[in-house]
Amino acid sequence: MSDTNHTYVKSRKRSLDGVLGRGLLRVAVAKLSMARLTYRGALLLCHCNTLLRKDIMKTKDFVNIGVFTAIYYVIVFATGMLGLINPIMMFVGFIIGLIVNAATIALFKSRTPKVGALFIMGILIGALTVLTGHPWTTVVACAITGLAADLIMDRGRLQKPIVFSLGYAVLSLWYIGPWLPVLINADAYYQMISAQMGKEYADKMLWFLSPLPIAIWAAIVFVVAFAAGFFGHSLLRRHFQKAGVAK
Amino acid sequence: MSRAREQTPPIEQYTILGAQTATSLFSAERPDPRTVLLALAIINFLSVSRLGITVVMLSTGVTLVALALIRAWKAALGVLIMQSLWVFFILGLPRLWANGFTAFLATTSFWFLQLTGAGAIALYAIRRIQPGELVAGLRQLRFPRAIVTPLTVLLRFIPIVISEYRDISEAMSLRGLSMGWQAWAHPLRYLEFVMVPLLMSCSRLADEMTAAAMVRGLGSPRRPTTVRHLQVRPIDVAWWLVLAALVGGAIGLKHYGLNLENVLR
Repeated sequence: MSDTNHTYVKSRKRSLDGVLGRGLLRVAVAKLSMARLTYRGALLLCHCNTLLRKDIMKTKDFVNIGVFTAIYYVIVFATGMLGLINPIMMFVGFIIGLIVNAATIALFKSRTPKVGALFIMGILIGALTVLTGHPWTTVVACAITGLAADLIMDRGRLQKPIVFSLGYAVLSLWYIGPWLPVLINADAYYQMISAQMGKEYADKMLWFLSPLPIAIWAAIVFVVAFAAGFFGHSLLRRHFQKAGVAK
Repeated sequence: MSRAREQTPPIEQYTILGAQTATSLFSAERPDPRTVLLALAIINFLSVSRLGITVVMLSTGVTLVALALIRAWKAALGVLIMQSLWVFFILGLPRLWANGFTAFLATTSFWFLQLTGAGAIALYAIRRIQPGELVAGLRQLRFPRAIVTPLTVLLRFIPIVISEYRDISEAMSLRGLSMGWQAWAHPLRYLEFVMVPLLMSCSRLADEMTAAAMVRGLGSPRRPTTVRHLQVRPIDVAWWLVLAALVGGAIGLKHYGLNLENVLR
Protein backbone atom coordinates (compact mmCIF):
# COMPACT_ATOMS: atom_id res chain seq x y z
CA MET A 1 0.00 0.00 0.00
CA SER A 2 2.68 2.37 1.08
CA ASP A 3 4.74 1.34 -1.93
CA THR A 4 2.07 2.37 -4.47
CA ASN A 5 1.54 5.59 -2.63
CA HIS A 6 5.24 6.30 -2.89
CA THR A 7 5.43 5.72 -6.66
CA TYR A 8 2.32 7.82 -7.14
CA VAL A 9 3.89 10.79 -5.42
CA LYS A 10 7.14 10.27 -7.26
CA SER A 11 5.55 10.12 -10.72
CA ARG A 12 3.45 13.16 -9.95
CA LYS A 13 6.53 15.10 -9.00
CA ARG A 14 8.46 14.04 -12.08
CA SER A 15 5.69 14.91 -14.52
CA LEU A 16 5.01 18.25 -12.90
CA ASP A 17 8.70 19.05 -13.14
CA GLY A 18 8.67 17.98 -16.77
CA VAL A 19 5.74 20.17 -17.68
CA LEU A 20 6.55 23.23 -15.68
CA GLY A 21 10.33 23.00 -15.79
CA ARG A 22 10.74 22.80 -19.53
CA GLY A 23 8.14 25.42 -20.10
CA LEU A 24 5.72 26.14 -22.87
CA LEU A 25 7.50 24.15 -25.56
CA ARG A 26 7.05 20.98 -23.58
CA VAL A 27 3.35 21.78 -23.10
CA ALA A 28 2.92 22.35 -26.80
CA VAL A 29 4.68 19.11 -27.74
CA ALA A 30 2.72 17.23 -25.13
CA LYS A 31 -0.52 18.69 -26.41
CA LEU A 32 0.29 17.61 -29.95
CA SER A 33 0.95 13.95 -29.17
CA MET A 34 -1.55 12.68 -26.65
CA ALA A 35 0.26 9.34 -26.32
CA ARG A 36 3.23 10.96 -24.66
CA LEU A 37 1.26 12.51 -21.88
CA THR A 38 1.70 11.16 -18.39
CA TYR A 39 -1.40 10.85 -16.26
CA ARG A 40 -0.69 13.91 -14.13
CA GLY A 41 0.45 16.01 -17.04
CA ALA A 42 -2.82 15.27 -18.79
CA LEU A 43 -4.75 16.34 -15.73
CA LEU A 44 -2.80 19.57 -15.53
CA LEU A 45 -3.36 20.31 -19.19
CA CYS A 46 -7.03 19.48 -18.87
CA HIS A 47 -7.25 21.97 -16.07
CA CYS A 48 -5.65 24.66 -18.24
CA ASN A 49 -8.03 23.75 -21.02
CA THR A 50 -11.13 24.09 -18.89
CA LEU A 51 -9.92 27.52 -17.90
CA LEU A 52 -9.33 28.48 -21.51
CA ARG A 53 -12.26 26.64 -23.04
CA LYS A 54 -14.75 29.04 -21.48
CA ASP A 55 -13.47 31.78 -23.72
CA ILE A 56 -12.88 29.85 -26.94
CA MET A 57 -15.40 31.11 -29.46
CA LYS A 58 -17.60 28.67 -31.32
CA THR A 59 -19.70 29.16 -34.42
CA LYS A 60 -22.70 30.02 -32.24
CA ASP A 61 -20.79 32.94 -30.75
CA PHE A 62 -19.67 34.15 -34.16
CA VAL A 63 -23.26 34.10 -35.42
CA ASN A 64 -24.37 35.99 -32.33
CA ILE A 65 -21.66 38.60 -32.86
CA GLY A 66 -22.79 39.05 -36.46
CA VAL A 67 -26.48 39.33 -35.59
CA PHE A 68 -26.08 41.77 -32.73
CA THR A 69 -23.53 43.88 -34.60
CA ALA A 70 -26.12 44.17 -37.38
CA ILE A 71 -28.78 45.35 -34.91
CA TYR A 72 -26.38 47.73 -33.17
CA TYR A 73 -25.18 49.21 -36.43
CA VAL A 74 -28.64 49.61 -37.95
CA ILE A 75 -29.71 51.52 -34.82
CA VAL A 76 -26.59 53.72 -34.83
CA PHE A 77 -27.07 54.49 -38.51
CA ALA A 78 -30.84 55.10 -38.28
CA THR A 79 -30.57 57.42 -35.29
CA GLY A 80 -27.55 59.17 -36.80
CA MET A 81 -29.69 59.91 -39.86
CA LEU A 82 -31.61 62.40 -37.72
CA GLY A 83 -28.60 64.61 -38.40
CA LEU A 84 -29.97 65.13 -41.90
CA ILE A 85 -32.67 67.36 -40.39
CA ASN A 86 -30.13 69.63 -38.76
CA PRO A 87 -26.79 69.28 -36.98
CA ILE A 88 -28.29 69.65 -33.50
CA MET A 89 -30.65 66.76 -34.20
CA MET A 90 -27.56 64.74 -35.02
CA PHE A 91 -26.49 64.89 -31.37
CA VAL A 92 -30.05 64.13 -30.21
CA GLY A 93 -30.02 61.13 -32.56
CA PHE A 94 -26.70 59.91 -31.18
CA ILE A 95 -28.07 60.11 -27.64
CA ILE A 96 -31.23 58.19 -28.61
CA GLY A 97 -29.02 55.60 -30.26
CA LEU A 98 -26.97 55.28 -27.09
CA ILE A 99 -30.11 54.66 -25.01
CA VAL A 100 -31.60 52.12 -27.44
CA ASN A 101 -28.41 50.17 -27.92
CA ALA A 102 -27.99 49.59 -24.20
CA ALA A 103 -30.64 46.87 -24.50
CA THR A 104 -28.89 45.38 -27.54
CA ILE A 105 -25.56 45.16 -25.76
CA ALA A 106 -27.14 43.85 -22.56
CA LEU A 107 -28.76 40.95 -24.42
CA PHE A 108 -25.65 40.35 -26.53
CA LYS A 109 -23.31 40.23 -23.57
CA SER A 110 -25.56 37.91 -21.61
CA ARG A 111 -25.78 35.53 -24.59
CA THR A 112 -22.06 35.73 -25.40
CA PRO A 113 -20.26 36.51 -22.15
CA LYS A 114 -16.84 35.65 -23.58
CA VAL A 115 -13.87 37.98 -23.53
CA GLY A 116 -13.30 39.18 -27.09
CA ALA A 117 -16.94 39.34 -28.16
CA LEU A 118 -17.16 43.12 -27.86
CA PHE A 119 -13.65 43.46 -29.31
CA ILE A 120 -14.69 41.70 -32.51
CA MET A 121 -17.93 43.68 -32.51
CA GLY A 122 -15.92 46.89 -32.17
CA ILE A 123 -13.70 46.02 -35.13
CA LEU A 124 -16.74 45.20 -37.27
CA ILE A 125 -18.56 48.39 -36.29
CA GLY A 126 -15.44 50.40 -37.03
CA ALA A 127 -15.12 48.73 -40.43
CA LEU A 128 -18.78 49.44 -41.20
CA THR A 129 -18.51 53.08 -40.19
CA VAL A 130 -15.48 53.50 -42.45
CA LEU A 131 -17.39 51.75 -45.22
CA THR A 132 -20.17 54.32 -44.84
CA GLY A 133 -17.81 57.25 -45.01
CA HIS A 134 -16.28 57.94 -41.64
CA PRO A 135 -12.60 58.57 -40.97
CA TRP A 136 -10.29 55.67 -40.15
CA THR A 137 -9.82 56.96 -36.61
CA THR A 138 -13.19 55.38 -35.79
CA VAL A 139 -11.84 51.83 -36.30
CA VAL A 140 -9.05 52.45 -33.80
CA ALA A 141 -11.44 54.00 -31.29
CA CYS A 142 -13.96 51.15 -31.69
CA ALA A 143 -11.40 48.38 -31.24
CA ILE A 144 -9.88 49.98 -28.13
CA THR A 145 -13.19 50.73 -26.42
CA GLY A 146 -14.54 47.29 -27.34
CA LEU A 147 -11.60 45.52 -25.74
CA ALA A 148 -11.77 47.73 -22.64
CA ALA A 149 -15.51 47.06 -22.27
CA ASP A 150 -14.85 43.33 -22.69
CA LEU A 151 -12.41 43.41 -19.80
CA ILE A 152 -14.76 45.44 -17.61
CA MET A 153 -17.83 43.26 -18.22
CA ASP A 154 -16.31 40.25 -16.57
CA ARG A 155 -18.43 37.10 -16.69
CA GLY A 156 -18.61 36.81 -12.93
CA ARG A 157 -19.70 40.39 -12.30
CA LEU A 158 -21.96 40.91 -15.31
CA GLN A 159 -25.11 40.34 -13.25
CA LYS A 160 -24.50 43.62 -11.45
CA PRO A 161 -26.13 46.52 -13.30
CA ILE A 162 -23.35 48.92 -12.35
CA VAL A 163 -20.66 46.75 -13.96
CA PHE A 164 -22.69 46.48 -17.13
CA SER A 165 -23.37 50.24 -17.17
CA LEU A 166 -19.72 51.05 -16.71
CA GLY A 167 -18.69 48.69 -19.49
CA TYR A 168 -21.37 50.04 -21.80
CA ALA A 169 -20.29 53.61 -21.08
CA VAL A 170 -16.69 52.73 -21.96
CA LEU A 171 -17.81 50.93 -25.12
CA SER A 172 -19.85 53.96 -26.20
CA LEU A 173 -16.83 56.24 -26.05
CA TRP A 174 -16.12 55.23 -29.66
CA TYR A 175 -18.65 57.93 -30.55
CA ILE A 176 -15.81 60.45 -30.34
CA GLY A 177 -13.98 58.60 -33.14
CA PRO A 178 -15.32 60.68 -36.06
CA TRP A 179 -14.23 63.88 -34.27
CA LEU A 180 -10.63 62.80 -33.77
CA PRO A 181 -9.46 64.17 -37.17
CA VAL A 182 -9.94 67.67 -35.75
CA LEU A 183 -7.28 66.83 -33.19
CA ILE A 184 -4.95 65.26 -35.75
CA ASN A 185 -5.31 68.26 -38.03
CA ALA A 186 -5.40 70.96 -35.37
CA ASP A 187 -2.36 72.86 -36.66
CA ALA A 188 -3.53 72.68 -40.28
CA TYR A 189 -6.85 74.20 -39.23
CA TYR A 190 -5.01 76.81 -37.17
CA GLN A 191 -2.78 77.82 -40.06
CA MET A 192 -5.75 78.02 -42.38
CA ILE A 193 -7.67 80.34 -40.08
CA SER A 194 -4.71 82.51 -39.24
CA ALA A 195 -3.89 82.90 -42.93
CA GLN A 196 -7.40 84.08 -43.62
CA MET A 197 -8.43 85.96 -40.52
CA GLY A 198 -5.22 86.91 -38.80
CA LYS A 199 -3.48 85.40 -35.84
CA GLU A 200 -5.59 87.15 -33.25
CA TYR A 201 -8.81 85.65 -34.49
CA ALA A 202 -7.22 82.23 -34.87
CA ASP A 203 -6.17 82.32 -31.24
CA LYS A 204 -9.79 82.93 -30.27
CA MET A 205 -10.87 79.95 -32.40
CA LEU A 206 -8.26 77.77 -30.77
CA TRP A 207 -10.86 76.55 -28.28
CA PHE A 208 -12.66 74.65 -31.03
CA LEU A 209 -9.44 72.93 -32.05
CA SER A 210 -8.36 72.03 -28.53
CA PRO A 211 -9.20 68.64 -27.01
CA LEU A 212 -11.73 70.35 -24.74
CA PRO A 213 -14.88 70.14 -26.95
CA ILE A 214 -14.13 66.48 -27.68
CA ALA A 215 -13.61 65.85 -23.98
CA ILE A 216 -16.98 67.48 -23.24
CA TRP A 217 -18.67 65.34 -25.89
CA ALA A 218 -16.94 62.25 -24.45
CA ALA A 219 -18.20 63.17 -20.97
CA ILE A 220 -21.77 63.59 -22.25
CA VAL A 221 -21.59 60.25 -24.06
CA PHE A 222 -20.17 58.56 -20.97
CA VAL A 223 -22.84 59.90 -18.62
CA VAL A 224 -25.74 59.16 -21.00
CA ALA A 225 -24.47 55.67 -21.73
CA PHE A 226 -23.91 55.00 -18.04
CA ALA A 227 -27.52 55.92 -17.28
CA ALA A 228 -28.77 54.00 -20.33
CA GLY A 229 -26.90 50.93 -19.12
CA PHE A 230 -29.32 50.63 -16.19
CA PHE A 231 -32.27 50.88 -18.60
CA GLY A 232 -30.79 48.17 -20.81
CA HIS A 233 -30.07 45.95 -17.84
CA SER A 234 -33.59 46.35 -16.52
CA LEU A 235 -35.02 45.39 -19.94
CA LEU A 236 -32.79 42.32 -19.87
CA ARG A 237 -33.99 41.33 -16.43
CA ARG A 238 -37.67 42.11 -16.95
CA HIS A 239 -38.12 40.60 -20.40
CA PHE A 240 -35.32 38.52 -21.84
CA GLN A 241 -34.23 36.56 -18.78
CA LYS A 242 -37.88 35.84 -18.00
CA ALA A 243 -38.49 34.59 -21.55
CA GLY A 244 -35.35 32.46 -21.49
CA VAL A 245 -33.53 34.05 -24.45
CA ALA A 246 -30.84 35.31 -22.08
CA LYS A 247 -29.09 33.72 -19.17
CA MET B 1 -29.74 48.24 -60.67
CA SER B 2 -28.17 50.07 -63.58
CA ARG B 3 -25.11 47.92 -63.27
CA ALA B 4 -27.19 44.78 -63.71
CA ARG B 5 -28.75 46.24 -66.85
CA GLU B 6 -25.44 47.16 -68.48
CA GLN B 7 -23.56 44.00 -67.87
CA THR B 8 -26.09 41.22 -67.97
CA PRO B 9 -25.47 39.13 -71.08
CA PRO B 10 -28.49 37.79 -73.00
CA ILE B 11 -30.40 34.94 -71.43
CA GLU B 12 -29.25 32.39 -74.04
CA GLN B 13 -25.66 32.93 -73.06
CA TYR B 14 -26.53 32.22 -69.44
CA THR B 15 -28.07 28.88 -70.23
CA ILE B 16 -25.31 27.80 -72.58
CA LEU B 17 -22.33 28.77 -70.52
CA GLY B 18 -23.50 27.63 -67.12
CA ALA B 19 -23.56 29.30 -63.77
CA GLN B 20 -19.86 29.73 -63.23
CA THR B 21 -19.05 31.33 -66.56
CA ALA B 22 -22.16 33.47 -66.36
CA THR B 23 -21.05 34.82 -63.02
CA SER B 24 -17.59 35.63 -64.31
CA LEU B 25 -19.10 37.37 -67.36
CA PHE B 26 -21.45 39.25 -65.12
CA SER B 27 -18.57 40.73 -63.18
CA ALA B 28 -15.91 41.02 -65.87
CA GLU B 29 -15.30 44.72 -65.30
CA ARG B 30 -15.49 44.61 -61.55
CA PRO B 31 -12.20 44.90 -59.66
CA ASP B 32 -11.30 42.39 -57.01
CA PRO B 33 -12.97 43.26 -53.68
CA ARG B 34 -9.54 43.37 -52.07
CA THR B 35 -8.45 46.07 -54.50
CA VAL B 36 -11.55 48.09 -53.64
CA LEU B 37 -10.80 47.69 -49.94
CA LEU B 38 -7.23 48.84 -50.53
CA ALA B 39 -8.49 51.88 -52.43
CA LEU B 40 -10.97 52.58 -49.65
CA ALA B 41 -8.25 52.38 -46.99
CA ILE B 42 -5.73 54.54 -48.86
CA ILE B 43 -8.14 57.24 -49.98
CA ASN B 44 -9.85 57.37 -46.58
CA PHE B 45 -6.45 57.71 -44.91
CA LEU B 46 -5.28 60.40 -47.35
CA SER B 47 -8.53 62.35 -47.00
CA VAL B 48 -8.44 62.33 -43.21
CA SER B 49 -4.76 63.06 -42.78
CA ARG B 50 -2.73 66.16 -42.09
CA LEU B 51 -1.69 66.51 -45.71
CA GLY B 52 -4.03 69.38 -46.46
CA ILE B 53 -6.72 70.34 -48.89
CA THR B 54 -4.82 69.61 -52.14
CA VAL B 55 -4.47 65.92 -51.31
CA VAL B 56 -8.14 65.69 -50.41
CA MET B 57 -9.01 67.25 -53.76
CA LEU B 58 -6.69 64.89 -55.64
CA SER B 59 -8.10 61.80 -53.99
CA THR B 60 -11.63 63.05 -54.56
CA GLY B 61 -10.70 63.48 -58.22
CA VAL B 62 -9.63 59.83 -58.42
CA THR B 63 -12.86 58.79 -56.73
CA LEU B 64 -14.89 60.89 -59.15
CA VAL B 65 -13.23 59.20 -62.14
CA ALA B 66 -13.92 55.81 -60.58
CA LEU B 67 -17.56 56.71 -59.96
CA ALA B 68 -17.89 58.00 -63.52
CA LEU B 69 -16.38 54.79 -64.92
CA ILE B 70 -19.06 52.71 -63.23
CA ARG B 71 -21.59 55.26 -64.53
CA ALA B 72 -22.76 56.27 -61.08
CA TRP B 73 -23.51 59.72 -62.45
CA LYS B 74 -25.81 60.83 -59.65
CA ALA B 75 -23.34 59.94 -56.92
CA ALA B 76 -20.46 61.55 -58.82
CA LEU B 77 -22.42 64.74 -59.38
CA GLY B 78 -23.46 64.90 -55.73
CA VAL B 79 -19.89 64.49 -54.54
CA LEU B 80 -18.64 67.05 -57.03
CA ILE B 81 -21.21 69.65 -55.97
CA MET B 82 -20.57 69.10 -52.27
CA GLN B 83 -16.79 69.22 -52.60
CA SER B 84 -16.93 72.40 -54.73
CA LEU B 85 -19.18 73.97 -52.14
CA TRP B 86 -16.76 73.17 -49.32
CA VAL B 87 -13.76 74.35 -51.35
CA PHE B 88 -15.61 77.59 -52.09
CA PHE B 89 -16.34 78.06 -48.38
CA ILE B 90 -12.69 77.40 -47.51
CA LEU B 91 -10.84 79.31 -50.23
CA GLY B 92 -13.34 81.61 -51.91
CA LEU B 93 -15.77 83.06 -49.41
CA PRO B 94 -13.34 84.36 -46.74
CA ARG B 95 -11.54 86.30 -49.49
CA LEU B 96 -14.72 87.90 -50.75
CA TRP B 97 -16.24 88.61 -47.40
CA ALA B 98 -13.94 88.27 -44.42
CA ASN B 99 -15.51 88.11 -41.01
CA GLY B 100 -15.77 85.78 -38.06
CA PHE B 101 -18.67 83.78 -39.42
CA THR B 102 -16.97 82.94 -42.73
CA ALA B 103 -13.82 81.91 -40.86
CA PHE B 104 -15.86 79.58 -38.70
CA LEU B 105 -17.59 78.28 -41.83
CA ALA B 106 -14.20 77.68 -43.44
CA THR B 107 -13.06 75.61 -40.47
CA THR B 108 -16.15 73.44 -40.38
CA SER B 109 -16.05 73.15 -44.17
CA PHE B 110 -12.54 71.74 -43.97
CA TRP B 111 -13.87 69.03 -41.69
CA PHE B 112 -16.80 68.37 -44.03
CA LEU B 113 -14.43 68.31 -47.01
CA GLN B 114 -12.48 65.51 -45.38
CA LEU B 115 -15.65 63.63 -44.46
CA THR B 116 -17.07 63.95 -47.98
CA GLY B 117 -13.76 62.72 -49.42
CA ALA B 118 -13.96 59.65 -47.19
CA GLY B 119 -17.67 59.22 -47.98
CA ALA B 120 -17.18 59.36 -51.75
CA ILE B 121 -14.84 56.38 -51.88
CA ALA B 122 -17.22 54.57 -49.51
CA LEU B 123 -20.00 55.14 -52.08
CA TYR B 124 -17.80 53.54 -54.73
CA ALA B 125 -16.99 50.61 -52.44
CA ILE B 126 -20.66 50.00 -51.66
CA ARG B 127 -21.51 49.98 -55.37
CA ARG B 128 -18.67 47.66 -56.34
CA ILE B 129 -18.32 45.15 -53.53
CA GLN B 130 -20.62 42.14 -53.44
CA PRO B 131 -20.95 40.57 -49.99
CA GLY B 132 -20.10 37.05 -51.16
CA GLU B 133 -17.00 38.19 -53.01
CA LEU B 134 -15.88 40.30 -50.07
CA VAL B 135 -16.05 37.31 -47.75
CA ALA B 136 -14.22 35.09 -50.27
CA GLY B 137 -11.55 37.75 -50.72
CA LEU B 138 -11.05 38.15 -46.99
CA ARG B 139 -10.77 34.37 -46.64
CA GLN B 140 -8.09 34.34 -49.31
CA LEU B 141 -6.26 37.05 -47.40
CA ARG B 142 -6.23 34.61 -44.43
CA PHE B 143 -8.40 36.85 -42.29
CA PRO B 144 -9.19 35.02 -39.04
CA ARG B 145 -12.46 33.12 -38.75
CA ALA B 146 -13.39 35.36 -35.83
CA ILE B 147 -13.76 38.26 -38.27
CA VAL B 148 -15.00 36.57 -41.45
CA THR B 149 -17.79 34.48 -39.94
CA PRO B 150 -19.48 37.36 -38.05
CA LEU B 151 -19.05 39.53 -41.15
CA THR B 152 -20.85 36.95 -43.30
CA VAL B 153 -23.73 36.84 -40.84
CA LEU B 154 -23.72 40.61 -40.44
CA LEU B 155 -24.04 41.40 -44.14
CA ARG B 156 -26.87 38.90 -44.42
CA PHE B 157 -28.61 40.17 -41.30
CA ILE B 158 -28.76 43.94 -41.83
CA PRO B 159 -31.76 43.74 -44.22
CA ILE B 160 -33.46 41.30 -41.83
CA VAL B 161 -33.21 43.79 -38.95
CA ILE B 162 -34.81 46.50 -41.08
CA SER B 163 -37.67 44.26 -42.23
CA GLU B 164 -38.23 43.03 -38.66
CA TYR B 165 -38.50 46.64 -37.53
CA ARG B 166 -41.08 47.34 -40.25
CA ASP B 167 -43.11 44.29 -39.21
CA ILE B 168 -43.04 45.36 -35.57
CA SER B 169 -44.17 48.90 -36.30
CA GLU B 170 -47.00 47.53 -38.47
CA ALA B 171 -48.05 45.18 -35.69
CA MET B 172 -47.92 48.07 -33.22
CA SER B 173 -50.19 50.23 -35.34
CA LEU B 174 -52.59 47.29 -35.75
CA ARG B 175 -52.87 47.03 -31.99
CA GLY B 176 -53.15 50.79 -31.54
CA LEU B 177 -49.76 51.03 -29.88
CA SER B 178 -48.03 53.27 -32.39
CA MET B 179 -47.58 56.48 -30.49
CA GLY B 180 -46.72 58.89 -33.30
CA TRP B 181 -45.28 62.15 -32.05
CA GLN B 182 -46.25 61.21 -28.49
CA ALA B 183 -43.29 58.84 -28.60
CA TRP B 184 -41.14 61.90 -27.94
CA ALA B 185 -42.98 62.45 -24.66
CA HIS B 186 -42.39 58.88 -23.45
CA PRO B 187 -39.24 57.80 -25.25
CA LEU B 188 -38.29 54.97 -22.90
CA ARG B 189 -41.77 53.45 -23.10
CA TYR B 190 -41.75 53.63 -26.89
CA LEU B 191 -38.25 52.18 -27.11
CA GLU B 192 -39.29 49.30 -24.89
CA PHE B 193 -42.26 48.57 -27.15
CA VAL B 194 -39.99 48.44 -30.18
CA MET B 195 -36.81 46.95 -28.80
CA VAL B 196 -38.19 44.02 -26.83
CA PRO B 197 -39.91 42.27 -29.76
CA LEU B 198 -37.07 43.22 -32.11
CA LEU B 199 -34.36 41.74 -29.92
CA MET B 200 -36.54 38.77 -29.04
CA SER B 201 -37.17 37.78 -32.66
CA CYS B 202 -33.59 38.53 -33.68
CA SER B 203 -32.17 36.28 -30.98
CA ARG B 204 -34.57 33.53 -32.01
CA LEU B 205 -33.43 34.02 -35.61
CA ALA B 206 -29.82 33.90 -34.45
CA ASP B 207 -30.37 30.49 -32.87
CA GLU B 208 -32.03 29.15 -36.02
CA MET B 209 -29.35 30.66 -38.18
CA THR B 210 -26.61 29.04 -36.13
CA ALA B 211 -28.15 25.63 -36.69
CA ALA B 212 -28.70 26.23 -40.42
CA ALA B 213 -25.25 27.73 -40.95
CA MET B 214 -23.40 25.00 -39.11
CA VAL B 215 -25.07 22.40 -41.31
CA ARG B 216 -23.67 24.26 -44.32
CA GLY B 217 -20.21 24.40 -42.81
CA LEU B 218 -20.05 28.04 -41.77
CA GLY B 219 -17.31 28.58 -39.25
CA SER B 220 -15.42 25.44 -40.21
CA PRO B 221 -11.66 25.85 -40.39
CA ARG B 222 -11.53 24.75 -44.04
CA ARG B 223 -11.77 27.40 -46.70
CA PRO B 224 -14.87 26.93 -48.88
CA THR B 225 -14.64 27.00 -52.66
CA THR B 226 -16.13 29.97 -54.47
CA VAL B 227 -18.22 30.30 -57.61
CA ARG B 228 -16.29 33.25 -58.95
CA HIS B 229 -12.58 32.81 -59.38
CA LEU B 230 -10.95 35.80 -57.72
CA GLN B 231 -7.83 36.84 -59.58
CA VAL B 232 -5.88 39.90 -60.66
CA ARG B 233 -7.49 41.59 -63.65
CA PRO B 234 -6.27 44.55 -65.71
CA ILE B 235 -8.59 46.87 -63.81
CA ASP B 236 -6.93 45.81 -60.54
CA VAL B 237 -3.50 46.68 -61.91
CA ALA B 238 -4.85 50.02 -63.10
CA TRP B 239 -6.20 50.73 -59.62
CA TRP B 240 -2.86 49.84 -58.00
CA LEU B 241 -0.96 52.17 -60.34
CA VAL B 242 -3.39 55.03 -59.65
CA LEU B 243 -3.18 54.47 -55.90
CA ALA B 244 0.62 54.33 -55.99
CA ALA B 245 0.68 57.57 -58.00
CA LEU B 246 -1.70 59.16 -55.51
CA VAL B 247 0.39 58.21 -52.49
CA GLY B 248 3.58 59.27 -54.28
CA GLY B 249 1.99 62.55 -55.30
CA ALA B 250 0.77 63.24 -51.78
CA ILE B 251 4.22 62.60 -50.32
CA GLY B 252 5.84 64.71 -53.04
CA LEU B 253 3.46 67.62 -52.47
CA LYS B 254 4.12 67.48 -48.76
CA HIS B 255 7.87 67.32 -49.32
CA TYR B 256 8.05 70.29 -51.68
CA GLY B 257 5.41 72.27 -49.80
CA LEU B 258 3.26 72.57 -52.91
CA ASN B 259 -0.09 73.17 -51.33
CA LEU B 260 -3.03 75.05 -52.73
CA GLU B 261 -3.22 77.30 -49.69
CA ASN B 262 0.43 78.30 -50.06
CA VAL B 263 0.12 78.89 -53.82
CA LEU B 264 -2.93 81.09 -53.42
CA ARG B 265 -1.36 83.04 -50.62
